[in-house]
Formats: sequence, structure tokens, C-alpha cells
Amino acid sequence: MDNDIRRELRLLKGYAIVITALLGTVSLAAFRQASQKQKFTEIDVERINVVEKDGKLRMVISNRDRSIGPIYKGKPFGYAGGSRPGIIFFNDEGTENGGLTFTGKREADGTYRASSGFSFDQFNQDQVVYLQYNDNNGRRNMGLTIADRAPVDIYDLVAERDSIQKAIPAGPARQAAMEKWAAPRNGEQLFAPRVYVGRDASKSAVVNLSDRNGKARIRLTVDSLGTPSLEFLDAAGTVTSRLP
Amino acid sequence: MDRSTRRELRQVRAMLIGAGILSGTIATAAFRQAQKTRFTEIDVERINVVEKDGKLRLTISNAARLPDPVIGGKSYPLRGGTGAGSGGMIFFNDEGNENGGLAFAGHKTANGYRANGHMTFDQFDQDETVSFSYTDVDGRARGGLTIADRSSIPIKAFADSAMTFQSLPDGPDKTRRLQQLRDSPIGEAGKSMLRVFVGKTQDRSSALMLADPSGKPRLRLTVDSAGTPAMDFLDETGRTIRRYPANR
Repeated sequence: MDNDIRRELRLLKGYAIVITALLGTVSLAAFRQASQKQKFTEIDVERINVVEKDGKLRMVISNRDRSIGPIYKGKPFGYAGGSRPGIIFFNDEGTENGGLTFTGKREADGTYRASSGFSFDQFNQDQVVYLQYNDNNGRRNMGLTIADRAPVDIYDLVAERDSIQKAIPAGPARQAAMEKWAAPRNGEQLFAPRVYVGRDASKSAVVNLSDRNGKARIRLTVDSLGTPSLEFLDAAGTVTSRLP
Repeated sequence: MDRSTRRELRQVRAMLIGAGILSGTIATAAFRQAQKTRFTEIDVERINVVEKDGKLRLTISNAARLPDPVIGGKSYPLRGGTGAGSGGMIFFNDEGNENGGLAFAGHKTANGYRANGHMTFDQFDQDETVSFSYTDVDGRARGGLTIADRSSIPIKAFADSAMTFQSLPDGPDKTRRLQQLRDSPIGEAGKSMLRVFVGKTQDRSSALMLADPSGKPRLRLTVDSAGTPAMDFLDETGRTIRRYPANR
């Protein structure tokens, strides 16, 4: 073999060694980087999952399309994702326990819908503390609600409801089954608002303090005409005393 | 070709194949990274949560990179130079317009401190309608929940007009022009009519206040700084028409 080829080979070999070493270093650095703390000045992202070490979700921050549906102990239930842009919180068991979401859009016909909400859920149930703005083309309400929820797992409750709707065709029989489903459990309403402070859809500024059935028993109001009042009500909703 | 050359060639080939596979793997990993990546911890000055088409949905940022308000698809340089210096989150609706935020700040000043924390929701195409906030200047603190009515006129026209004198230095000229704008027909779009407040006020009262649609308080429950409890009903001029308990 002549010297030219041998020199060429040596050069190639040197090149191959350098390239391989370089690549090895780069991949090592890349792997190390992924397992350590990284610094960015600015990033664009469609969804961030904040996870526990075992991969369990603790918080999902996402755009609309990638937003997550309800999760109970790591399992999706209820409805699909894609409708809740913002942040969803999860408890230590990977069950949804609150969120902060915001939407708003004008439709082709000129009307709009908008809503924003920040909520905390009762354990294995639905929202019991929530601050909301809901607006259906100008008909809006905004306020803080504190509610009671029956001590029934939301997963079972949704499964029961879904099986009724699947098994019984629409009609009086299904309605009766749904009424039974919605009835109090162990004397507790499925949902009973206890405190509301806000501005309601009738344009009144109100504070409602309600009983365990969700019926307002003390009501402070400044209505859309500006009339202020304080009312005490009985369980049937009749005003028993009124100030001023 | 002699044996040593052949061996040498084989070695070179093997190394290059190895390097090829490695770079292929790295390239694949890099592409996959764009799909989903796992970090244990990141430091970042700003995160933009974007829709697929790039529209902003949420920013999480330090104070310096807090985005300017986006109204009607346009960015308004209103936060610059205000000294607000809040970091936190800004929310955007499906059209990419700002619709709220969660921001917080606090720093020492020459004589004391300034601090605040706010979570706000905006009315559609308008400004704050729900606000859960704390503001504090040297211990004069106000904290609570505020609900306000806003105009049904979009705030864009008001913001555009305000921009024409936004860059002027603070002073009588700027104040006068702002007042002129407020008194003009589009001034309506810039108004906030307070309807509900629950919280503590700067004069150290705790209070619940309900107001009429023009923002005038009409029903007020207070425990003032001296500990005196009262419930007042007011008329539209702000005069107390009835006070409880009455024997005081």
C-alpha cells in the first residue's frame, strides 16, 4: 500500500476519534443537564405538568387544547380535556382539587361568552370555595361562593349519573331516577351554597348566608335600582323580617 | 491492500458508524424533546403558555418581563415606568386579549415599604371586575375582595385615547387631559363602579359594603378601628338614612 493511502487513513482515523469523543461528551452533557436544574430566560410551551417524583400530577398549566379533563386518583373521568385553559391542581393522591381557569371569545354572530374562576374542591368532591366571573353576552355574575357538598365520592356520583342516562331512555322514568340521584345523601344536599358575596345576574350587589339546604336565610341586597335591604328568611324562602 | 490497512479501515468504519448512530440518537432525542421533556427543576425568567397557533394564554414571569396589556389584539406599553414592578401571571382569553392576572410585589422604600398582591378577573373586552387584593404603603394596608361593574363599551377606545398622553410626565397637564378624557363620551369605558367590598380598609376598619350600579355605597357593615360595630343604610347622596344599632 502506498504512503498516500496510509496517510489518508491515519487522518480519517484521527477525525473519527475526535468526532466520536465530541459526540460522547455532548450526549453525556445532555443527559446530565436533563437531570439537573436548567436555566432559561424565556420559553414557549403549550403545557407544563408539575409532577411528584413518581410522576403523579400535582399541577397542570396549559393552553386550551391540551388542558386536562377531571382526574380521580390518576384516572380520567367525567368529560374529556380541552375546555379548561389555565391551571388545574391535584392533591397528594393525584385527584383534582381545584384550579384557576379563564376563557373568553366572541362568536361569529357577535355575541360573546367569557368566564374566569379560581376554585378549591372538597376532598374527592367538587368545588366548595370559588371566586368566579361568568358572562353570557352581558348577562353576568361575579362573586365568591362557599358551599357544602355531600360526603360522596365524585367518581361514584358521576358513574351513577352516567349509568342512569345510559340505561334509561329520556322520559319520566329517567327523570325519576335522576331526581333520586340528586336527592340528599345521609341528610346532606349534594350541593348547598352557604355563603355568596357578589353581584348577581339581576345586577344586585348581594350577600347571602344560607342554611344547610342552600336556602338563603339572611340576605343583604342593594338591587339594580339602588335600594338597600337586610332580610331574614324562613326555610321556605318567606321574608320574616326586613330592615331598614 | 495489506492486512494492517484493512484492519485500520475497519476501525475507521466502525467508529464512523458509531458516531452516525450516536448523532442519530441525539437528533431524535432533540426532536422528541420538542414533544415532551422532563426536568426536575428549571429557572426561568418568563414562561409563555401558548396556543398551538402561538397566541398567548398565560405568562408566568419575573417583574422585568411582565408583558404589557394586550387589548383588542394590540399591546399597550402601559406598565413601563409605573414602578409597579410586579411579577406573576397574566391571563389571556381565547382571542389573546388580557383577561386577568395574579401579580405580587413588595420592596423597601426610603421611608418604609410598598407591597401588594392581586388576583384579578377582567370583564370581557374591559378591565377588572373581580379583584382579590392586598395593597400596603408603610403599613397603611387595604385587603379584600372587590367586585365592580364595568361599562359595556369596550375599553379599547379609552386605552387608545389615553395612549396619546401616556408618555407625558405626571403633572397638572396630564391630570387635566385624563380628566377631559374621563368626561368625554368614551370616558364611560374607563369607569369602574364598585359594587361590593369585603375586607379591611386603610383606616383600620373591617367592612362589608354594597353599592348601587353607579358605585355609591348604600349598605355598609363596619367595625371601625375603635371596635365600634355598625350597620348603615345610605341614600344616593351618601347620607346615612338609618343606622343600627339605633341607640347610639
